[in-house]
Amino acid sequence: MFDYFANPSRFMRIANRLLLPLVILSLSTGAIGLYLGLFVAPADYQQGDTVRIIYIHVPSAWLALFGYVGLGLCGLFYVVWRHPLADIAARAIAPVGAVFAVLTLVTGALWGKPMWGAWWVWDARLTSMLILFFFYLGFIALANGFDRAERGSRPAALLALVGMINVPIVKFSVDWWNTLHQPASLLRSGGPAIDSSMLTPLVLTLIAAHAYFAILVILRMRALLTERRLAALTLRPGGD
Amino acid sequence: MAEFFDMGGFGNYIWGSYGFAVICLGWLNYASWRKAKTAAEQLAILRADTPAGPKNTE
Repeated sequence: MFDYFANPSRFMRIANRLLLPLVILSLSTGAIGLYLGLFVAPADYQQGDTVRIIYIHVPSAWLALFGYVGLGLCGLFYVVWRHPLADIAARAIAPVGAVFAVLTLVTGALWGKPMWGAWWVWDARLTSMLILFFFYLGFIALANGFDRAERGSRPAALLALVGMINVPIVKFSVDWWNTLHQPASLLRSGGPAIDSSMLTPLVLTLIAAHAYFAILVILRMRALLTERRLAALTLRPGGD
Repeated sequence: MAEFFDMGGFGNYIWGSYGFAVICLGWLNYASWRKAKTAAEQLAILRADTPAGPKNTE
């Protein structure tokens, strides 16, 4: 099955067919989720209306983290099988994941200031998320830091793999250390700790953000594959 | 309506978050579409200039 989808043309044909359904899914769930989150869901009994930042902060954090898992898996596939599609996917994921990581850090600061009295604290969750962002930046710098793009693929893939160590640290930092950041509210033993009036819009915005992430990655993969084809055509004997 | 935008006195933080998200995600969307479009246009130009070039197999 892996070989079947690893064919770039076949993969992109399937991915392109998914674009429109993903756009519809992202827009519809995003609109309903934000409407419910901003207009219908009640303010939190402790955090007041600042809790409404959750509908942008948590989806961003999940995608920064899941995006990195995707980056690490692509790194693994590239290092082991040297498949160019894994390299293309990693290069497409990295900037999108990096933006979601920035979004997590900034919305977290905007939530932290009124609740904790500080924009930033060197808390385990915040620090590990900042390190995740630096891994994204490192990947982007390494992948694009060579005269020929392919030369940067292997070192960047290795860095992506090394950065995977940080993923469980981000996830479990709130359990392993005493942190100012609140513990997990959704993925926890015993089920979500959020009331359904807030959980429903959160789940909807999570679906919207995942679909949006997929759209962006497909678009960037399409562009990168076309650029590779362009480079191959230009270098071809008899080409321009 | 003013009460809604005030968000219990936390409006700056909440709308600041959403505003930053709109800018970031909007820019990412624009940049990704533009990147895909530019590459496709360049490929089309190159193919038009080289009639003996390989056909698009997609």
